[in-house]
Amino acid sequence: MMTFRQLPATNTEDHSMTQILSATLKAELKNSRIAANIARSTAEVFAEERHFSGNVQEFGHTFELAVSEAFTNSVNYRDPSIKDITVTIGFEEESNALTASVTDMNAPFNIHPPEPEITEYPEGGFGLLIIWKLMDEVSCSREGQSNVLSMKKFISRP
Amino acid sequence: MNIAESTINGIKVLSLEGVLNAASSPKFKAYLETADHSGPMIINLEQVEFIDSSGLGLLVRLARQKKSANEALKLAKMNDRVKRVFEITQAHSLFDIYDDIQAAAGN
Amino acid sequence: MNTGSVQTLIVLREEEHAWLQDLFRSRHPMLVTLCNKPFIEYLIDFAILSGSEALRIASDSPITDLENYCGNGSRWGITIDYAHILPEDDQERLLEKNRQFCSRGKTMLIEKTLFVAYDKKNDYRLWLRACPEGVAVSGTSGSITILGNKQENAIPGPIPGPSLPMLLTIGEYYRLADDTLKNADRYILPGYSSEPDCFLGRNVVIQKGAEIRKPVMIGNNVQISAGSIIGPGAIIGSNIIIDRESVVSGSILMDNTFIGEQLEVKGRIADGSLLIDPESGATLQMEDPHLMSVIQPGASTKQIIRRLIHALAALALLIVLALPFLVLRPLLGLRRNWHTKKRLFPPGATAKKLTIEQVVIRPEGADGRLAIALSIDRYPSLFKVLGGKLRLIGHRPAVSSDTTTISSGCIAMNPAVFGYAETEEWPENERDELMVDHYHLLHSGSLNDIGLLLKALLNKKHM
Repeated sequence: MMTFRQLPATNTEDHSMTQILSATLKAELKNSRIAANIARSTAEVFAEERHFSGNVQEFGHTFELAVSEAFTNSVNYRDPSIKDITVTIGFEEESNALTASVTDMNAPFNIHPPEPEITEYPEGGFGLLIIWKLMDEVSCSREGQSNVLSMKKFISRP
Repeated sequence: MNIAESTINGIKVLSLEGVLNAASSPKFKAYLETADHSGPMIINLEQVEFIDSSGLGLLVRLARQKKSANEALKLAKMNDRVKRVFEITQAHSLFDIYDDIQAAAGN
Repeated sequence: MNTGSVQTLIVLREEEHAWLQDLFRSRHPMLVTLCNKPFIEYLIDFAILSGSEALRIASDSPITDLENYCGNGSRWGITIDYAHILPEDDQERLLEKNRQFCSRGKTMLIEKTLFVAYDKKNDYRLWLRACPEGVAVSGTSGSITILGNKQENAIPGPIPGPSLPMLLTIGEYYRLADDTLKNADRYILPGYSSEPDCFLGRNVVIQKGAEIRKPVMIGNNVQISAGSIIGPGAIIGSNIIIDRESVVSGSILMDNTFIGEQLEVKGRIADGSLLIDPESGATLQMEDPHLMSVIQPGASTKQIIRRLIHALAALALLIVLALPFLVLRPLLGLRRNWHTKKRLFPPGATAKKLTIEQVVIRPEGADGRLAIALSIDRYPSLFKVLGGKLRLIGHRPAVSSDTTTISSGCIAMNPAVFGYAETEEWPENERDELMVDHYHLLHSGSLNDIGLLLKALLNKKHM
């Protein structure tokens, strides 16, 4: 199950952000690849349109990886008692940055977990670490019953 | 994800292909748990097009098992996309990383 | 297997060059500059001079900043890639790990080396060709080892090889920099050079009455104020301001350093707020960032006159720009290209906060570009200048960030509609801008402000 929406340009009061895409996917692990691929393509198109001077593929991989991690987290922490639960991924563009957001209906979570100590051979806990390392700005807001994890990457510093 | 097994110089080489993420890593995990995989091992990552924290977690787990068994685990032919995940998590410090499978097998 | 191609493998271990890491913590030792050129570039130069087509940097520690700097090497016309090794790997093991890379032909293995003393007039391809397998150059500061057989058509006879000068202390670094500058014709050094011992970067402003004595090297975006004496033996990095009547000789100023007025820097190395005596190795951390002096805000008569002039100039701008504003503002609103951003100033302060509202217009469409060219985005703020809440020109907080980690006297002043930094082309980040703002806050008078305002109006980054 998946729905796409091409959204009209909207303006919030204090940002010049434009929402460009939103996709709602069933919260199942197998859909993480779809979410990641959407993120990669969106980021690559965005970077190409802005004549990004850096590595476009790397910029795409950044979003592919970050959204894959965020989506996987959303699925892993979903309420198993509810059927047909969904996760929404969205993208907003600014002149010099792209933001991906992942919205789920899970309980609030800590976006600052302790970093895994690599010398201890940790098997988990890499997900948010990867997101933090890849992105320039990461934030999580609670909107009603939802978590919105926003991940922003600049193509050039203003 | 596909797993191909071969032997070079008496050392088991697992060649992974495709996506190693949360959806596919259970398959790899099951593969590692079902058969006997003792002894030195080389993992060929050349054909891995995408790896995320779940795939990385599995490789780290395997590294720990091999280390406690005092057996070698070598990674070979890491591409840039895979390398990036190892770099940002510092996981590369846990592995011997080779650019050549024959060299990893000590040939 | 041996196809005749040449490649270079540079091995970096974290434990090496620890002394350099201790001094300049903010960057990888390979990115520390010698004569305004990072060490890694000397190694890349030598790899290219010896005919290498590919270069690999194998490291046992994270080198993200070095990777970002070197990229894939296209800047130098050589292919650069990166590999990981473990601290315990010996030479044999690290060569095994990079076997595919090394098997392409003759490999030059550079270990423990920060700097290779080469002479660009020599043909190191011939030298390399004549080199037998094994250690070719070795010293206390590193070694160069050749792997792969000596080629048959090698030209016999001595061809001078490179040397690896001692480089284990800051004193040796200091002398090497001096020596490199004196033998500048051997190296590829940055900057414009019309004479052998004088190098000038881009955007260097030397005010009247300042004196430059050779040998000297000056980087990019450097401002040298009146009455200063630079050189002999001065290596000035990039993004540097040397204020009035200061003397810099026999010294190295690393990038992003501000030398306050009437300072004497002789036989020293300065890096931001760190001052190093190369002979003893003693360091002094200046309390004030960028060796700056603090601005005391006060309500002297001068300040009152300055405020009055700012208000009058703002009034003039309000009148001149009234018509364009009235035409463009509704148009931009309709096209949703008028965004306001409220923020508190100074950031993070608890008392005496001032809310400032900044407008962001994207340079889209004729209206957007015209609005930016005419500074329509600043129009609403001009009213606040009339009330004395804002200065017309001074320190303008960057729109992009909500926080600033830089503390300086600038913060003590009211923020401004136009930034001094906008009069210059060079500031690239907030830190540079703050440096320029700070400089002008110190030196600009009321009339000067008007001149700078005009410059800002014309020069203002068109986003």
